[in-house]
Amino acid sequence: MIEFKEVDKFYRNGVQALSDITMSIEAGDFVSIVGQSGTGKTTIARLIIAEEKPSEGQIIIGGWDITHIKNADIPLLRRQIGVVFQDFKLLPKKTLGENVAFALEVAGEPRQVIKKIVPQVLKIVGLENKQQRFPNEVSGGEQQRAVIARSLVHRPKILLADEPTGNLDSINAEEIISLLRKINDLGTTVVLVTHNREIVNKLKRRVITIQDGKIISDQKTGRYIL
Amino acid sequence: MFHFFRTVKFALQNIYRNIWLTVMTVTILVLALFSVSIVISLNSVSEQLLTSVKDKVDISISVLPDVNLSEAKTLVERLQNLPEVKKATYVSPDEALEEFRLQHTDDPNIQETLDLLEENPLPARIVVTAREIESFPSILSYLNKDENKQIISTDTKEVEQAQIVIQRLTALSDQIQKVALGVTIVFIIISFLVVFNTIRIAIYTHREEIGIMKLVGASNWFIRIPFLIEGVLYAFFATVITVAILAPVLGFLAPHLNDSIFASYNIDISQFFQTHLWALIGYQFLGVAVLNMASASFAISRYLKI
Repeated sequence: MIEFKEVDKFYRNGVQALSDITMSIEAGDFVSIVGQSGTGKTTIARLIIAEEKPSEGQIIIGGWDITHIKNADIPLLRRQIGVVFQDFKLLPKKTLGENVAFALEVAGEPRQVIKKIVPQVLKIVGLENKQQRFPNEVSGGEQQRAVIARSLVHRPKILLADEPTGNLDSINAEEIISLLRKINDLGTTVVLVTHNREIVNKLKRRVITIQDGKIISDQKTGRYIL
Repeated sequence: MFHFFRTVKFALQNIYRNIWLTVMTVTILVLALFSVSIVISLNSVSEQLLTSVKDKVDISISVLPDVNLSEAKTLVERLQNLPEVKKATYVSPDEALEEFRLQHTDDPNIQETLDLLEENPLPARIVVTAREIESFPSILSYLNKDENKQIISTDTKEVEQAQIVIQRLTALSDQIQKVALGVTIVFIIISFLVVFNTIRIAIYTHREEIGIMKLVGASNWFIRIPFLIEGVLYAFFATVITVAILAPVLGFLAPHLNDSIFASYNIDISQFFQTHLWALIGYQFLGVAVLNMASASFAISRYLKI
């Protein structure tokens, strides 16, 4: 599903963010990419959604070589990857339902389809009763669940979560992780980028550890080793 | 189709959310359009005035008293065959007298004097109208030939005066044309910069929304088009407001101008505005829309990183 082949990433100022990253994530996997701040975890996430392009190497997503992806094709890629970030990225002037619908609107989906899908995904994340609430009227955990609902509207094959629990307390963090597991159980490949030791250790799933831009460990049922 | 309506919706949201910026931008565009419209109308009217004056200029040549009718008519025919001559007409002494009487119907003294005269004091005339005002010198030199001097007496003062008036009017018209061009260029630059800045601010205001749109897979054009539509909507509002202001202003000014300046030249400035209304609206809207789209495209390419 996701393949990195000898990927290097240099920034314009000459800083090397990633070095010789080679990894393969299969369909249906739940993989945690862990490491301390500034080690290159988020760079991997950005490469997966083509927000950055690799300096060297090759990246293949679902059989599609996106190494030199054209700008016009990036939206098509992003509709296949649901993305969840630490800072939620919800529009404050839209209700949770409208925020979820927004992802379908900008993709040009007809209104009837939007009306059908939005309640479905909100139900999956347990927000079916808070569709009309604005982001500032719900908790951080609920905001993050709305973001996950939004990321699911295109029925993505991959869900990429970059520090999804970073702004949440432990109870809300647990809820989000259990939601991600549920989504993974439904067949979606989940890539969790985190530095939360507790969560990684509880998950007991595959863990790829990054340090100084390199993979130093790739364990099938791993733990947070740093 | 869904895309189009949604992009229009997003464009309207952009306008609504930055309403004061929109008001300022449209106001400046209206001022620009208003000034350019006035100058262009003035230019057009001055051109019409010049054409009208040129059409009115003719040379009236007196036929010598002892010249017979056939000789005079032969000269008229020869004149008509000249490429520079638009029209040459023979006016008999009786016709000349009748015309003179008509011109002075309001003057009882002249009418009385004419009645007292036993003979018609006016000679026959040949009236020559040139195709171009610039052709008069060559027509005059033709009339000054020896063979023609025996038939007519040429007095060129009238033509010389007309030529001076036309030269002045041409210079004025050229001057107005230059001012129109200058004003238009200045306002094009101002409008371009104002719209560029407005779109730049709109992009900045919507940076969060744009980021999310990119994240959830909105196509690049879906993100860009609302800003282009915003530019076109500014053009639409500005054109409608300008015409709404221009119509009553010209409606008020036209009677005064028609009665004073254009009285003898068959030019009706409000008529001109009415007959050219749709062309004015169309060209203005098209011009400003293209300008705004160019400006918005420039701002998008500069500030909207996709």
